Amino acid sequence: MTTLDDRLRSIEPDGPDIDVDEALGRVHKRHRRSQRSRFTALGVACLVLLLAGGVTLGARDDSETGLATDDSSGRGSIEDIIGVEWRFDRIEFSDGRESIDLREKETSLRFDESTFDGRICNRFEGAWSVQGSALMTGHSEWTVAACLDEAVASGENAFVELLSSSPISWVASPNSLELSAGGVTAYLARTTPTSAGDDTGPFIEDLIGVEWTFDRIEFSDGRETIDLTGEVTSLKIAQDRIHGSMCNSWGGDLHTSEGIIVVPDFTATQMACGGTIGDGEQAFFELLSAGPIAWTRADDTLELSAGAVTAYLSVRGWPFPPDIEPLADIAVQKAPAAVQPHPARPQHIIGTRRVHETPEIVIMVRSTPDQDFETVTSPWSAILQPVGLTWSESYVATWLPPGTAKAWVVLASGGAEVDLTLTTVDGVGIAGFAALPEPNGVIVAFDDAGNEIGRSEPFDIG
Amino acid sequence: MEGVGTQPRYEPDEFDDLFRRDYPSIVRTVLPIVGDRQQAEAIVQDAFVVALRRWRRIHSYDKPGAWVRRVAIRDAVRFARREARSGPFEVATPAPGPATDQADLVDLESAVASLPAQQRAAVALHYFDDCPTGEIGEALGCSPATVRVHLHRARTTLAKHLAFDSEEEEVS
Repeated sequence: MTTLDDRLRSIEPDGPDIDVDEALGRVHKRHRRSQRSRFTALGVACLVLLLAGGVTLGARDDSETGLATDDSSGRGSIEDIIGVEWRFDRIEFSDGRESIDLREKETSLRFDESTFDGRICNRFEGAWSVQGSALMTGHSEWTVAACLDEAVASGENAFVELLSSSPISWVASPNSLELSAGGVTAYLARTTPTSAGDDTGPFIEDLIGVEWTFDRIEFSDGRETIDLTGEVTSLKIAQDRIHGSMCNSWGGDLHTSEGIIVVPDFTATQMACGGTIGDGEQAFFELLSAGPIAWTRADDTLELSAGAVTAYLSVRGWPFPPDIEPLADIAVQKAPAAVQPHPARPQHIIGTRRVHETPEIVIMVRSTPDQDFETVTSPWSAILQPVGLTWSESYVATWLPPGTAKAWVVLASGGAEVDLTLTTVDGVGIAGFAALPEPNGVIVAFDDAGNEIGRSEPFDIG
Repeated sequence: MEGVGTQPRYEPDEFDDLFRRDYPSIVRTVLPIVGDRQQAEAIVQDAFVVALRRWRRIHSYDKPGAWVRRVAIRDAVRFARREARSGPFEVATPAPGPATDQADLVDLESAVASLPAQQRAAVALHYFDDCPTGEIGEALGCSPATVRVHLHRARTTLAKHLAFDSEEEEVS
């Protein structure tokens, strides 16, 4: 009998024959064009144009990527726009309105190949395309926060006005971008450095999937180095998110360019922290807030630098003792009779806590928010069968005395990405966020030192 | 002689050889993720352009093709996610398969195309590329356990669509 696996393997997603040589020619052509673009950026544009004798450098035909590129118009290359983190400098008007200075404001604009996003006061995102010599923008989505800063609010309104007047004419260079439509002109500057000689530049892929721990933080302004050796810290970088923990857990979205990480904003739990780890955390938050972060990886070490702060990290080892079995590959088993689901079909999973020195989990459940919590202590395999539990985004874990939160779990939601923070009654955070792109629930176990010791097989939360 | 500060040597045709060898297979991998042949080729070409810009470094990798594949898959998944926001994509007309019924093939490919981007990518890498879950996880930026979940959910969905038994094979 043919199985589904057999059928899937029978798919030959090959399609018609691929013309490899033609494709290779396109790749070389685009590479040469990008090299010319850099050459131009080095200040010899005039020379290039003279030598070219009026020869069009090339509008990329749509069959290459779907984007038209026109290097011959003097407006620059569309490739100068894409993938760059821009900030708004000022917005000017042709109808006599006073220009808006945004240079000191935290703003951003970034174009991907077909979408753009950014922030002035509110965050926004939308779709764009090239049509002839103009940019076309479609519907854009905005958050709706009230803007207290008058200049920022005015700038945002002006940019909305500009977007709604699409098509947008543009002029770009490697370091500046001018967008104009409907009498509104936005002037933007690049926030990330150009990539001269980027063939030796670092790859963000080198950082992804590695768990780092902080070694020390140094300052260029004379402050004393903070030695974090021996402290329990972590930092992880995913494709578009950075998160970690020192005293508090923190995380934020991530944009990358060559050799640069940009964390536009980040959130953190609010536990009061002192001592070395508290100082280190403050310094690292200062680094995160200081703008584009330059990074360098050499073997098992990572250096992050922004403003006056440089953090030195190293690859985190696998710290749990060998007698504790990693949990990642424990198969889901049917719960033993002794750990049947709560008879009242518990509706709230409050959190779980790994019991020190034993491969057991304490899970606190209750069927309604006003009920007392019941404790179920069970082996991992039983925990993986919380049949009937439903999920909500926030909980108050009254079962943990304040200040005892040394071990915790992270639960991911079914389907959606949910920021989860477990808190004790006094508001002390005991769990990190769980913005994990897991399609289902997963329990991540940490030992009392905060080191991840394994994670469950994902399971249905309900 | 190589020493400190010496650029490693490589043959200028090395990139072209890599391209000719790996381009078709990477396009085949990316195609089910993005669902459009032209877009798949554009994404893979983009990845190779980036590789060419950084060739001095990338050529020294053990498997430069794997790097290009990873970048292409990542971009394909991003593209598919963006597309998903604006509605499902059209399924490319499949090539005639050697031993399958054409109508069933269209059904199966349509069902694969209807999966979420990460699941499509996991299916493509697992079934078409025979990648172990560890490598798929690296490419998708998630854990092997999550890859297994993607595959499990994809199989469940496909089995429902196609009235197959969703019984799974052992996934390494």
